[in-house]
Amino acid sequence: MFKKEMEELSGWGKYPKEKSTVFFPQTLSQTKEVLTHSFRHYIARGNGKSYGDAALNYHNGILVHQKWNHFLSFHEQTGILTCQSHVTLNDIIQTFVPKGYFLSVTPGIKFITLGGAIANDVHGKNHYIESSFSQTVLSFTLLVASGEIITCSKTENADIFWATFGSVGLTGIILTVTLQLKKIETSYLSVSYQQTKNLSQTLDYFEKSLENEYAVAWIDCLSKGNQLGRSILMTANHASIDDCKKNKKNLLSTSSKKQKNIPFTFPSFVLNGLSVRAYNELYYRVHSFKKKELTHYEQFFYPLDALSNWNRMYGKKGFLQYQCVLPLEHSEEGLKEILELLAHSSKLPFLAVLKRLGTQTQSPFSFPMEGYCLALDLPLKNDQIFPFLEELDQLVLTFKGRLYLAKDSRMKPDMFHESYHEKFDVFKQIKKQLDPHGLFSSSLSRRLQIDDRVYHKEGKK
Amino acid sequence: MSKILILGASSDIAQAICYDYAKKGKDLILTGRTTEELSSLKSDLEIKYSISVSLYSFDGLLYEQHPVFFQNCINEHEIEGVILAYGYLGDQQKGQKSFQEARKIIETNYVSAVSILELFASYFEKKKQGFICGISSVAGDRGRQSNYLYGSSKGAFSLYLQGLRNRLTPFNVSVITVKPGFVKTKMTEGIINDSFLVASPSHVSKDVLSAISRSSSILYTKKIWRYIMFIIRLIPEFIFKKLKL
Repeated sequence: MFKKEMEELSGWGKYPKEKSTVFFPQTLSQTKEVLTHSFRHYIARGNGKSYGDAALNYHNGILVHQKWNHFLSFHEQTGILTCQSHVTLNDIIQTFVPKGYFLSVTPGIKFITLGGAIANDVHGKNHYIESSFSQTVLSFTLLVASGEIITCSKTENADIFWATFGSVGLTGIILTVTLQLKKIETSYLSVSYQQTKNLSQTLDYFEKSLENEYAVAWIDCLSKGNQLGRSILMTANHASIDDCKKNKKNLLSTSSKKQKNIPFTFPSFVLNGLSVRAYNELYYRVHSFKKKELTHYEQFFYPLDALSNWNRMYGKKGFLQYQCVLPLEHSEEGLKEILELLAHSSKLPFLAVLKRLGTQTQSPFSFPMEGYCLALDLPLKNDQIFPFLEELDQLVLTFKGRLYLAKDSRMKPDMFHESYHEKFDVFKQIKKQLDPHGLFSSSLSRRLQIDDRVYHKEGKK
Repeated sequence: MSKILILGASSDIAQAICYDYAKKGKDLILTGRTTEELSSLKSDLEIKYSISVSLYSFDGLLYEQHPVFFQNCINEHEIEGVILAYGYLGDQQKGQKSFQEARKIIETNYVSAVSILELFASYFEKKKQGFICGISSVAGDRGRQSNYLYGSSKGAFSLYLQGLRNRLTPFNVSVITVKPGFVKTKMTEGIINDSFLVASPSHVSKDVLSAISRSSSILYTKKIWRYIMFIIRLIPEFIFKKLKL
């Protein structure tokens, strides 16, 4: 079986980069063989689209199951699909959009595997209606540390089922997944744009838009003063056949456009204060003219996937995505302070996106909670960014929010344990029972001292 | 509807060929040593491309089972062509010390091919249509110290296909010899790295499909290998024998 020593393996954010050993098992028996092999810890990796160190394993083993990319069964009437865990959301979309099905929950990157989608309990622009990825999954099979394969669903091994969503691969290796697809009439969405003048108007419009299937706001985070938090709010609904009849021929088309490639890593001066400012101003102005339009799902859900390697835009050092959620009661106040801090610093984010999340599930480490979630893409130019983000962390903690593990590469353990303390004991109990020797562990789980506090020290309350 | 039989469907090249035919809506018959290893490939092809895929277990080295397998295939399906895609690279060093390994290389790559393809050759000859495509190797074009066991078995296979082509051409049956150069597959994982000489399995597959549809005789893939092997064959033996290749 193929094994590769990677000098500088990283996640999608290209930070951090770590020396790692990656195994590519072809079959289940090879996977089991690797797990009893030379390393103490292993973590499964999908397509490497987590931004930080969730799928890195410094000085330990990483397993990539590239060959587990097959569909196993599909029931045409019910839209229930079973596949192997390395199938990507893109594979599903390409095959099932022409048959009139779509994912009921999709994040902004479609080149992620189902295993990764579960491990990070991903969410989309409709969380307030459809909840997180856990709601679309009917069951999955999991290879656990003992070598046993267990089936998990809301009725069978339910505690392990829930604990696996969001726990970044620490419960075991996901083998197959059964999920419910959603019926669509067309591959288009009718999207409406609203321009808002400041943060409170943004949130106000947001709350009034929740009868739409999707809602997301792009925030101009360079605006200050009484314009602080001015945004373009986009709401969308799947377009019906009638909506499209006049101007679209192929109602269930997948994207025909070829993915463009960013052929080299941009020098880091390309994204400077001036270009980001110009971009933000332009984006705000251009969209203020738009009112309503029919948009292909590709442009609405995956605007960045049109460029493969778009992470190269941010220069060699990579970038950080800072994604936090604040509970509804503190959202306005908290967002205001965060945006003020951003506007007055020189840490310009290239992209700032606001989403409304619905109620949280029972998964211990799942990110979403009822409230507002802000995602910031910050180019990593020098180390000054880290103390700044710690300032943001403090704000998030003050307002009882938390950070998204899929995007994180630098949070301190105390921040994690304080913000996720509520269900830590639930996870701890399951982890101890499933994996008493900590076979499944990653750079992220050690950085955040998840393993330490499961097995040795008592977690801080 | 007529189907294509792929012997050895678990190889990376064979799987790429499966997907390319499936995209055209072609029904497939696939074989592997066990059908279990192919079941997820079958469901994937059927769901993605709405084709029908039949699985058979077939072991090239169990010669006595070949006639039964052949009979089952032609009884149950209308077969348009056969692609023999399995092969065994083996271990040259091991083969030099143990005849068992050498024999496995020779038998898998050559003897088994003769055993099964003769059956289909007579069948297509009688029908006066069909094709036989064998995945051989550039390694069969000249013997080298580093892999002459594999090379000689593939060389014999290529010669066999050449003769078969000569026999079947009057009967409207085309025989295609595919000679891939370096291909990034399971067989060569960790041995070769990316370069302009290395083809991906899907590159090979595209070339194979087009060679079959044009009834070409010998296909080098990537194309540059035709010229490389031409030059290698031109090197006089008194020089070649001293080279470390």
